Amino acid sequence: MNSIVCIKAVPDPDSTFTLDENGNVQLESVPLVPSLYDEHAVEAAVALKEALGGQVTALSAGGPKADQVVLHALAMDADLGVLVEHSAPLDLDSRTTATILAEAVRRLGPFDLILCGQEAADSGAGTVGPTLALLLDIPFLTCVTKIEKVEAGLRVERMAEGGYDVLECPLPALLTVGSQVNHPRYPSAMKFFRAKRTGITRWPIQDLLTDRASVEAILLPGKRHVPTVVGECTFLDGQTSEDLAGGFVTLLSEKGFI
Amino acid sequence: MAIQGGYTGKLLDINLTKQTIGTAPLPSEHVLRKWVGGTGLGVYLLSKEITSNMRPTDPECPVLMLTGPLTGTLAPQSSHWCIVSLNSELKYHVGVSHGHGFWGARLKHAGWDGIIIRGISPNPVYLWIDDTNVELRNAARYWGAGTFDTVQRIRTDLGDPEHISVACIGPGGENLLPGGSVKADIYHACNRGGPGSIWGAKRLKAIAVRGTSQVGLADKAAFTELCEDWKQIINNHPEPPPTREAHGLRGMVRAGLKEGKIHGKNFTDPEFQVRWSQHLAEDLKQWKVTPVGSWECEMRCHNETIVTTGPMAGCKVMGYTGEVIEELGPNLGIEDPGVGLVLCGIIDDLGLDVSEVPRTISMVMEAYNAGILTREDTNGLDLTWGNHEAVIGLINMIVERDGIGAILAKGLREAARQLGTEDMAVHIKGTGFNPHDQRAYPMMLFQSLVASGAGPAWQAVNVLERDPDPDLGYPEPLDPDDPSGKGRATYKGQVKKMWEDTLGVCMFATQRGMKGILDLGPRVLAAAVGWKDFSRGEALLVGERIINLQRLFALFRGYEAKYDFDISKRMLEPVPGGPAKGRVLGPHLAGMRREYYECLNWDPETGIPRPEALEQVGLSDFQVGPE
Repeated sequence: MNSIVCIKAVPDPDSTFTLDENGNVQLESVPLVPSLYDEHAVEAAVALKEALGGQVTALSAGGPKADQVVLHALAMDADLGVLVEHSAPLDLDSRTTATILAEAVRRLGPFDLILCGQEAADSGAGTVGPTLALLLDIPFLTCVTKIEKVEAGLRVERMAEGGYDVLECPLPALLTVGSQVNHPRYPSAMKFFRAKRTGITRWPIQDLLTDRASVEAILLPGKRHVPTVVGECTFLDGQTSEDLAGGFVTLLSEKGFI
Repeated sequence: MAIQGGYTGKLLDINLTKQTIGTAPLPSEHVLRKWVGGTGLGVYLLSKEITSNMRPTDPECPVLMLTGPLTGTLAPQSSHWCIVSLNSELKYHVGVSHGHGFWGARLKHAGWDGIIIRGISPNPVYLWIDDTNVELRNAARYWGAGTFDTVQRIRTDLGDPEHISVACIGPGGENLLPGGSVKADIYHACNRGGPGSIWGAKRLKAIAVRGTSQVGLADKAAFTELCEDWKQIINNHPEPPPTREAHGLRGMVRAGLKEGKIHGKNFTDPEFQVRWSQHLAEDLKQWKVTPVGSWECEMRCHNETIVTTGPMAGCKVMGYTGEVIEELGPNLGIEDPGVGLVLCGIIDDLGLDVSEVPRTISMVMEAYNAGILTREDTNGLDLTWGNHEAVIGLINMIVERDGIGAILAKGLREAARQLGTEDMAVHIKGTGFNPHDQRAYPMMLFQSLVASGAGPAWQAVNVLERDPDPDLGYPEPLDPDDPSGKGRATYKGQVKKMWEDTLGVCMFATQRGMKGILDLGPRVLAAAVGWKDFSRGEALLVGERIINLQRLFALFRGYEAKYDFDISKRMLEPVPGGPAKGRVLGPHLAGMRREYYECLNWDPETGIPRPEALEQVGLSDFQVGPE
């Protein structure tokens, strides 16, 4: 089972950080850590490798410091690490991220399975995985809680209202996983050290996207705003419930809501 | 008065040679009241079984894992358990090491006060305790795995990772290295005395436990109320439990910048700590440090740290890492704190006590940098101070007993003898000792050297030269430069600490200069067990009894009073620089020991307890060894 795990470097959710004038996180102000669910994806891929053979490639896209999460995956027993380096803001939109990852996956060559966290710890969008699968034209299943290899491909369990679904899909496929799927192993400091010595593969994004799209366009940073919240509170007069309810109806009428 | 709570009343009795699992009752109430639990009960039980020439690796040598009557209750930080056996490194001392996490509490919740293990298994095994269902299982597939991996795999394989605790050894213990440790619940180590190497000799890879009951209490209402008072005392301490930065790492900054107790380059460069601590202070602002607690623990002195600076950015390290990083950073001349932290992770994963193998490495590095050893001696390794890659290479060679590693694996004193580096072996009684440049606090060093019956350890851990201890009559810290009264203060602190080590609570719930604990502890024990008349005086007598038994134990095994001075010359000389420049124990050592012996009523020349001393603590007729 040859798997590719997509892993994202996110600002430490527990830390305080500052924003620049465009509303982007100033990366110097905050530690980068692996996105929570991505660690579960790495664990799932490594567990499949240990059971079935094959290899695990950890793939990330980000600035140079994002190599930390690739090394983290290698310390969790992934075999190869690849970082697509770009200088764009940390949280690219999902479509852009998926486009970059799709190009990297094509370059990596044949695979059986792609694993992603079900959503990123910073944006929480949950759409990179499905978009990546659509770009690669492979089936995908989200919010997977159990993975089993069967003759036809994979049998998985997926969260559902009041229980779970049992589904099968052929390979190659893409799965997104959450925290229920496993307990991620702790990374080995010795393996981290060895991975650090060996190094990871770095692909500049300009090399990767040359024939597909304009790098400048795809990495154009957006502008973000912190919403302005204006509060207004009106206290209703009245001694009884009837008085208060009447006052409330009158207020709604005056505001034009009814 | 019958015991009404606190204890489960049962010990697991395992024979690995015969592969049998049995149950043994706790000793009688009369005996329990004399030794209580934990260290006290452990030393007592061990003393009844050992012979004068028994070796830790002998099949008949028992190893005991014990809790205290408060372990697993709602008492603050009641996570404590301990391992008691012969000391792997020192023939004449008992080996006592302290563990935390959830393992001890779960053992109590499974219905056991402790475990006695004898014999040697023909094949690697692990013990699986699922409440009262207990079995030995094949551990072949875990043998050779690191401690982090072992804990996680066994928990996962048993199918209930959230509720199972695992204590295990790593390659260090399996290969019977000096300072083989037992690691529990990923983060927590039992180090002193090399218990991991004893497990390794027995081919015991791990003990997994799940417990679903609660600890019974004699008077639950009174117990709960007293524990609330106790927690108030802890939270009112000037340094309350941390919120973000773990206690251990934060303390290192103060230790280097103000206290001068971080050793640099094998204790030769006390200035190193100043710039290293400044570096650490800056890095801590960047790292992601997540404090990790134990059962009923708010102190959370262990941590998970993601290094985000320097050459090891991205590495995640689990463990105490506080003083551990001293040994693997500054003492090896490593400037970058992140690199030192990663080395902590490697040593912990291997299951090694930081004060043994790393101390041997710092000795070899000093010899290499002084030109006494060359690359020919080090199998080509460039052991220039700070070369962490060479350090990792040397660690691997020691684990595999390869080249110079085979020499270093023989322990600090023997390795120094073979390499001709005796002057550079920084030791107490021939072994390593707890990190810190203890010369900065001469009384702390004295405790490690003289006032410990378990080899170099802190059995009177009050840092009275930094923190007050109002319960002992010291409302202000003692002057580190004034030796007067330090022998008596050590005695008082050791009596208190040995009593506290019987209860089943962490030292951070009782020490740190908190006022009122010495009166509260006996009342909490009384409410738990039902010994309503258990007093402060009786508690202190328990502590003094344990000190005396440890001395009887040591004498039985060949201890002589001259070993009180068996320490490297370097440690008795004044600190040559740094914030603690000039501090010194050497000229005061003999006088402090005389005072300490007087307090215990031991013969000033031989260190043998006088009959009156033994009578006072109820040990007049006590014989170490099988009856």
